[in-house]
Amino acid sequence: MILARSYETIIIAKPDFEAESIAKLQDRLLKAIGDVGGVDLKLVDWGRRKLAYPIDGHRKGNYFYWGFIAAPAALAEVHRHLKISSDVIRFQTVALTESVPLESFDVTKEKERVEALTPDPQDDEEIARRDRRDRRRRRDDEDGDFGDEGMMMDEEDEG
Amino acid sequence: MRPEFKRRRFGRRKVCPFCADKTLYIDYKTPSMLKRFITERGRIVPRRISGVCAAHQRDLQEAVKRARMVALMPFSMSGID
Repeated sequence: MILARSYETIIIAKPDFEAESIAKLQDRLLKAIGDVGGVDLKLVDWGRRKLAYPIDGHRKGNYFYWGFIAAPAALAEVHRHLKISSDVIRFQTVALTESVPLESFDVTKEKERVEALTPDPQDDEEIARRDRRDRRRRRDDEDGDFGDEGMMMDEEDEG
Repeated sequence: MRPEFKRRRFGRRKVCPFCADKTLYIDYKTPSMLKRFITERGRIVPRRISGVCAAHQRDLQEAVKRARMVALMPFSMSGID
C-alpha cells in the first residue's frame, strides 16, 4: 500500500523557454510519478505572464499549473528534475490533501477539480501602466537631456 | 472634576468579507482577489483595518505569502519599482 497526497505545482519557465526541453522535462516528471507511484491529473499552460518582481533578471515568465497525485518519494524525484532544468526559474508545490492510500483517490473527481480551475486574469490595466512607464523610462535614458525637457514643459505651461 | 475617559466608538462594526460571502474562496492563485487585502506598497492589511476575522486572516496571510513566492504578487512596491 502506497500512501500519497494530491499536489499542485506552479512551474515558472523562462519566457524564451525551448518547447522541446519542456516537453522532455514533462516526460521525466510523468515517468517519475509513474515509476514510484502516483497519478498525473493535468498540466495546464497559463501562458506568458508578467512577474510581480524580476526573477534571475526575467521580467516575464511562462506559468504552468500541474495537478498530480504522488507518493513522497515520487514528489522528491519531481523536485529533483525541476531543480536540474535550466528552463525552470521557480516552482512551488502545495499539498492539497492529507496522506491517504493511493488506491482511495477518486481520480475522475480529482481530474474534474483540476479541469474546473481557470487561471486568474491578468490585471491588464496595471500591466499597461507598467509598460508605459518602462517605455517612458527607456526613452528618458536614450535622450535624457534635461535642457530639452525643461523647455518643453515651459511651452506647455504657456499654452 | 475628573475628565471623562470614555473611548469614543466609531461607526458600525466591520464584517469579515469572507464570512459574509461564502462563495469567496481564499486562494493564492487568484491575486486579483487578494489585491484587495494588501496596501499599495504591497503589505498585508491588518485585520483591524480590513475587518477580516481571525481565521480568515490566517488563510489570507498564507495565500498572500504563497502568491508572493510564485511572483503573482509583489513582496514590496515602491513608487519607482
